[in-house]
Amino acid sequence: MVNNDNDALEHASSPVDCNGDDALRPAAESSADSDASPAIQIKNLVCGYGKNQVLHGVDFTAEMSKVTAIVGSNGSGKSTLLKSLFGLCDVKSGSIKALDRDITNIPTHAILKFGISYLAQRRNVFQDLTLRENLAVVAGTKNPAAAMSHFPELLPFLDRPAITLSGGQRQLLAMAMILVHKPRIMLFDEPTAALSPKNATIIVDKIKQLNAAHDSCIVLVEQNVKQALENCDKVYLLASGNVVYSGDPVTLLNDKDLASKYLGVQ
Amino acid sequence: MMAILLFDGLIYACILAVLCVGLTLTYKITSVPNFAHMSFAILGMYMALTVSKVFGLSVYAALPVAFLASGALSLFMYYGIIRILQKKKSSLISMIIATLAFDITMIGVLNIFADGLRNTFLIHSRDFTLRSLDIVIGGDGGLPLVFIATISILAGLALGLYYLLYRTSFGMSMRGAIENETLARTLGINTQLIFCFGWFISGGLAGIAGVLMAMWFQGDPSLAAIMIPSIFAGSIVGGFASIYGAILGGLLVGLSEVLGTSLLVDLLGYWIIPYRPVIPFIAMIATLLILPGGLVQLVTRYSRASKKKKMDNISASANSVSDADNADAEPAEGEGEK
Repeated sequence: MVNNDNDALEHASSPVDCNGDDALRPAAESSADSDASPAIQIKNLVCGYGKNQVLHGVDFTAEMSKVTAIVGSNGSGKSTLLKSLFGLCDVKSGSIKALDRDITNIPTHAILKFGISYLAQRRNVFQDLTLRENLAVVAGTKNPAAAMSHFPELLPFLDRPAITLSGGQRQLLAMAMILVHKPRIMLFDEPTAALSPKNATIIVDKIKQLNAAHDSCIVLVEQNVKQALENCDKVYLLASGNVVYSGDPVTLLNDKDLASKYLGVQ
Repeated sequence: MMAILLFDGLIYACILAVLCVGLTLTYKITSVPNFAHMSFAILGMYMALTVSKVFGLSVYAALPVAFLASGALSLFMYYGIIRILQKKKSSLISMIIATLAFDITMIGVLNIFADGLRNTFLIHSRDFTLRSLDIVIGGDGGLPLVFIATISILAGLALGLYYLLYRTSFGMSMRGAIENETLARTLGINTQLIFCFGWFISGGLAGIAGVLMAMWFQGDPSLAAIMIPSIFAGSIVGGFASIYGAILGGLLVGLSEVLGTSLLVDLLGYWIIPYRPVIPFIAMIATLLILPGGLVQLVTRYSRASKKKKMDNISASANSVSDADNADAEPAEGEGEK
């Protein structure tokens, strides 16, 4: 079988053209209000899964039009912090605000209405459904392919089950699905995990283009520290469920102690 | 004689197929085999008895009543028991035992209801049949309407489910939620609403099956324990993961039970009749040993092979670059799940 995954991803790296097309435009243009206050504001968050407490009083903010990265070693709580925004873990105390609205303990399925989308690390498409059906789940059955306007490279595979796609193609499909609702806040949980370095770069470029084109807030959890720091405006370093650094990524890289202790960067 | 046997076989097989669809649907949704499924059908039976004998209406008027009553009971079971156990992260064994407990309770309640009907309205409410109330097309010796109704309901169910699951956004969301509930929720799908709908439909279908059973066979609360192995056998023969497999499995097991028993009576004598329930067990064990994925496994194998061939052709024509690297192809996660 001929696999054109790479070809598809290379097309995907072309700049996003938004002129005259509002398919990917955020639900509402950024206002003075949203510029004034952070897009996401988490205060003293304690959460986990059942009896297992993962985050111990985390404070976090992310601004509109910026890419905020969360880095740290395995088990540091990066993904849990992202999941807490989407009601996917048990919040024990603290508050979560997004776009000036309290979303603490809001059911997961209702959070999308607040203009927030979440791209899970794994299993982020319905594998038994075709591409067309995956899109129809979020965009309706009338013209699900319209949601693919910025991912034309996937169009030949519309009637193919998602399970038959490569990892990169699935990631593009997952991005197309979360963009249907025109989110103002996009949460990406290790979007480049399990991708080859070349395709990982293409996906990261795509995320940067989305940010530039749509004036949205992007929160990126990345295992690949170098890639994350190169592409973000602000970084949070987590260790054992606590924030040990927040601020400028260049400063973090220059801090020899933190970089070597938590990031493995010499 | 042969005609009656065929009527028996087809009506029983279609009713069993409807019951298997319901059982498979709830299994796909919650991964819990519901041993109380037949009690929804028994409730349908008693709705048919009540509507026809107490209210004096056509027994067919009981179909919507039974659908709603059994659907509501099923919804109560999901929301009042299964959902609570899931939230408490109870084990599968606990949930299976809970379904058994619910079944035993319901049979007790239905026995009380049957006694109540007998004592209050002087109705024969045990081992009853409503066959005499059915409409016969073509006069005496003609075609009973229940025969047409049973086949039509199964055909309508198959087509309706296909339309729902493959042609509507709600149905696709339902398939998605069954495959990966967390992802569905993150995409804004109210999975609880979908699961409640699935349980309601499952119970409602069992209620309809119960009405149809009362119109051809004998109805009694004890039928729940007798028929539940056949429903499981039909679902397992079908694959226990596919709605259409359930229809195939139900038809196959139902026909095998009726026609197989008749054949064995001819060969061995009438003493074999009480051993009829062995037939679905044999079908179930043989399926698990020879074809664990059930009949649907055979169909899937064939359709995957033909789809792969088709997709290879599409890819070959769509690609000008043929040597794309496949290094990042993830392993197929979740394949075969649920």
